[in-house]
Amino acid sequence: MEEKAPVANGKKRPGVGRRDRYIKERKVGEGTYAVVYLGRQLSTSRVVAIKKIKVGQFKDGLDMSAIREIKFLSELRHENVIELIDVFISSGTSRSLNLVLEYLSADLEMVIKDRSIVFTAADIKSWMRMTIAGLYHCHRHNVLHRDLKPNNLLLSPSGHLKLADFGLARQQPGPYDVMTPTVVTRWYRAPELLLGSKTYTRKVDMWAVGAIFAELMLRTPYLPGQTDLDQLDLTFRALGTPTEQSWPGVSLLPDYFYDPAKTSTADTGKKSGVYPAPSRDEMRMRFSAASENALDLLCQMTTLDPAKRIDTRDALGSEYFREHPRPTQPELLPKLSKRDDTESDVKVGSNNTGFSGALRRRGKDDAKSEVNKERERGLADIAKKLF
Amino acid sequence: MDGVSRIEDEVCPVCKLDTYMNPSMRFLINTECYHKMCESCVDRIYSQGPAPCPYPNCGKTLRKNRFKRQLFSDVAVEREVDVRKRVAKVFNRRREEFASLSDYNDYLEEVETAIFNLVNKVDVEATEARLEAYEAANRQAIATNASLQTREAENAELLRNLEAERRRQQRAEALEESMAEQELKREVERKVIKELANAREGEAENAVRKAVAAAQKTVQLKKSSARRSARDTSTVSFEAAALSMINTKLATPDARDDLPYDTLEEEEYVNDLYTVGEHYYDPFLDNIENSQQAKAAGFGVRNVYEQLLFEAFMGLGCFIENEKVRHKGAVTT
Amino acid sequence: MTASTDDDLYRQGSQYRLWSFTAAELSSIREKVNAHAIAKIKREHASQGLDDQPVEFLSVEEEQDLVLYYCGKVQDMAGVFKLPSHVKATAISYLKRFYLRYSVMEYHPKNILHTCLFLAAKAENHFISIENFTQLLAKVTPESILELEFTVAQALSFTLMVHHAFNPIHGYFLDIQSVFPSRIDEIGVAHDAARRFANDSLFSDVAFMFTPPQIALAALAMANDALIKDYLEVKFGRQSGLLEQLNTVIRNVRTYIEERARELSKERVVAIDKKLYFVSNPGKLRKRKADDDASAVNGDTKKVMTQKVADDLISES
Repeated sequence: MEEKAPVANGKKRPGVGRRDRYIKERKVGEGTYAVVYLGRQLSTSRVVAIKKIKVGQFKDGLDMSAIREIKFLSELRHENVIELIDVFISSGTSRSLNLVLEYLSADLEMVIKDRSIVFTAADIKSWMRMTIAGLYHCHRHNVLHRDLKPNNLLLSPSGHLKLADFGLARQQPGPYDVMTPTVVTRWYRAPELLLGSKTYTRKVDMWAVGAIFAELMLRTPYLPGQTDLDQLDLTFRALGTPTEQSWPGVSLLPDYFYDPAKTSTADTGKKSGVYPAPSRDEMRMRFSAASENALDLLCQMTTLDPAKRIDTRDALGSEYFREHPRPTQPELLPKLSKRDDTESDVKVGSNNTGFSGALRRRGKDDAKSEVNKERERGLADIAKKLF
Repeated sequence: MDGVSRIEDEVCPVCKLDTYMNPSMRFLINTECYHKMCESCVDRIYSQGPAPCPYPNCGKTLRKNRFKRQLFSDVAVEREVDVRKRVAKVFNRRREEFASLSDYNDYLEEVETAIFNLVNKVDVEATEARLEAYEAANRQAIATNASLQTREAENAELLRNLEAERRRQQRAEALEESMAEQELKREVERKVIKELANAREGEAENAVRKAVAAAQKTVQLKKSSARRSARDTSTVSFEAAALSMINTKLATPDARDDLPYDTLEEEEYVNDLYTVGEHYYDPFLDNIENSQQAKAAGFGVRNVYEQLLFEAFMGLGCFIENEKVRHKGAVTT
Repeated sequence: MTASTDDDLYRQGSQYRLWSFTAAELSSIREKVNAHAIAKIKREHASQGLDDQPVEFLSVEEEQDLVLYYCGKVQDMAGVFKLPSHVKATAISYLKRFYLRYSVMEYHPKNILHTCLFLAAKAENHFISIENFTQLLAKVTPESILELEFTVAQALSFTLMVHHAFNPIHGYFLDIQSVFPSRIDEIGVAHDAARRFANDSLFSDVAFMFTPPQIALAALAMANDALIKDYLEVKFGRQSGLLEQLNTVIRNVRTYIEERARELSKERVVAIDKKLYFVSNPGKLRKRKADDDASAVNGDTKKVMTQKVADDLISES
């Protein structure tokens, strides 16, 4: 399959640069919203992931997720945010939108689940550093990601972590707008969202990062609620039921259910039980490997009251990142152990594509050829400059 | 007797065969008593199962699978190395597990004592017991650190390969350059000869001088351009960049730990144009200021102030007319 | 990555990278687009055997006037859907950016504008379903809007983020307060007026040549010159180079906005649109010529007119 952008009458349109062409090599996944291919940029042979948005079935034209992803990824350029290389429209039986994304071979969830890999404190710090640095960049641009979770944190063959899947992202709205509280995958959903708030802030992303931090240390999801109500219960059980003292205004949130008068009645049961906030010792027991500074940061990230929760800038400046040991260099982070016939997935962010890694390929060779491509690209650039 | 070759010949103390008669003979030792014997003696004595050491007065029971090649000519060294390996497998804690350097040093001291005891046969039983107890108590941590060591070894291997590849490239580049240079020299010679052949008598010397000067100029030009392209190639080499970075980080693990490290600094954006005030008069934002619910969700006027001021100054100092003239071709995407 | 400034952040964005031009670049792009379209249409006419018709192509200025007229239409439509000003401004930006890629002779703005508004509403999180969208518009079908969505998105190089001057004006409303707390009434009045000037600026090219904060300051200066002069003096007095540059920019922005403030006459738009009609339908020129000739004979019968057209056809072959 070869795709190219249409060119009117073979003449170059003013203001439009030469268009790159891409080859789709293999289909690697399919969801309700998109099909993902492993492909190549013809001019550079660079390996890319091509996310082909299914358009035909959306009666309102370009899908909102696609619009968000294109809109934000075009603006966000950072080492720790997935690169949108190009967008093109493929002709053919039905025209469709194609997002050309940088090729990434794994995600953090896969690494967490790979029991043969041991994490050091320095490894965890490195992943956290890259996650927060990418998120700081998004927040600087006023962009809320709204779906952070380990399988949206992708890993490049060289170990770099990149935020991906901006299909739910949006700008922090102005004073009069409201937003839907049904964002973020349940286990990583902040308490203000669980309580139905429509005027939340970028702090919802920070909560998710806190949950991911805990998961990296525990090697299992921190707050794996079964239902939305269970999630709230689990959150409060782990971090204490908020009160007006600990979280001013909490009782005004739309879905706040706790009513002291009702606690004794049978029908509300344990769901409205009041849990005490965990003591420092309790937290130390829960995260036995964490340093005091790591615990501090975790507690600041998972503070129930969003107004008191730490922001990305302060998190990056926290003592945890200054203390020994230093974050592991991305190149030296643990990689997925080789699988049966040494194949690996192409990841583009999982939520909207909903594919679970159908096809696999030789991971090590890919990584190596990526390195070669990198060099070739560099040489091509130099050549352009020289001649 | 031919002294030189006889010294190199060895005799098996068990069967008395020597390498002079049997050049393919190999010697093995074991980690129990370190008594040396040849491979065929080991086969003969231990193929049927454990048996006592054939050395007189030794009495240790040996097994075939515990025999190995002797690496060091001095058995004492061989033995110490083995002891160290065995102890290090159990006592494999890492620097980063200790809060301070002195704690770590204390730990290393303890390990060294254990090794000394075992090597010199001091308090062997007590030391062995300690080793065993420690191993039982720290099984998980030991396994973790072992797997880390494996990973580090793999990384080091990767680095060695990258380094070797880089050296190979450098050699190839150097070779190419010197060949190009020789080719140029030959070209100069050809030019000179041609000039000589065509020159009229009396003008030969002048013509040669001119040809040489011209040729030298081209040589210099080509040389510098070759050097330039070689340099560019090396700067864009991905491996080289990765390598130097990893190398510096790996080579001085302790030095870098002492340097101040600031994650924020690397990502920080600088703003010295404005500060966000605590309160402004703003009827537009009254509803937020008065909304307890918004406040509970973390959304306050402060968020709005920050955003509006940020937008007011983002790009204030981008003067397109000046900047875009310098970046020609910015019209195309 | 080393520390960077808010200006660097702006330079990373698509508005700066793809949609910011010097005045010379901007007019050169428009000339190229115009010439490209004329060449293309001439080829098409030739292939249909219609190249002998005296088609009058639109000039760059005429194209621009027509686009601006339809920017006004976007404004009216955004009002119909009660969309906030930044959505309207984004739709207008899309329309103007689209016509840096295509000529109005290739795509008529009356079709493109609906798609621009529909896309802008989605991109700015004010989703309107296609049924609701078309219900309120006469003679527009869902297909006609969706058909052009890819064309528009592609012409925009898939950059959907647009920064406007409205929020920066609000930001300066706050920051000027912290410099001159006692002049709050003056600042409030200037803010309201500046928003109107920022709205006017949508009908000029300033967004292509200046950044939103610069346009915001110019709009505020148009509302209250003295206030902004004092503010900038306090704020940047010590950086005389920057102050001077800002003053120049503000002057230039004002000139561009004021230039465009004049109303486009309805007659001019109708005349341009008529011209455009014959560019797209050169065949109709014959008929017009025939009509003109017929009316010149003053009240002749229909038969004579038909005869005349027939004569034209004969002389053609």
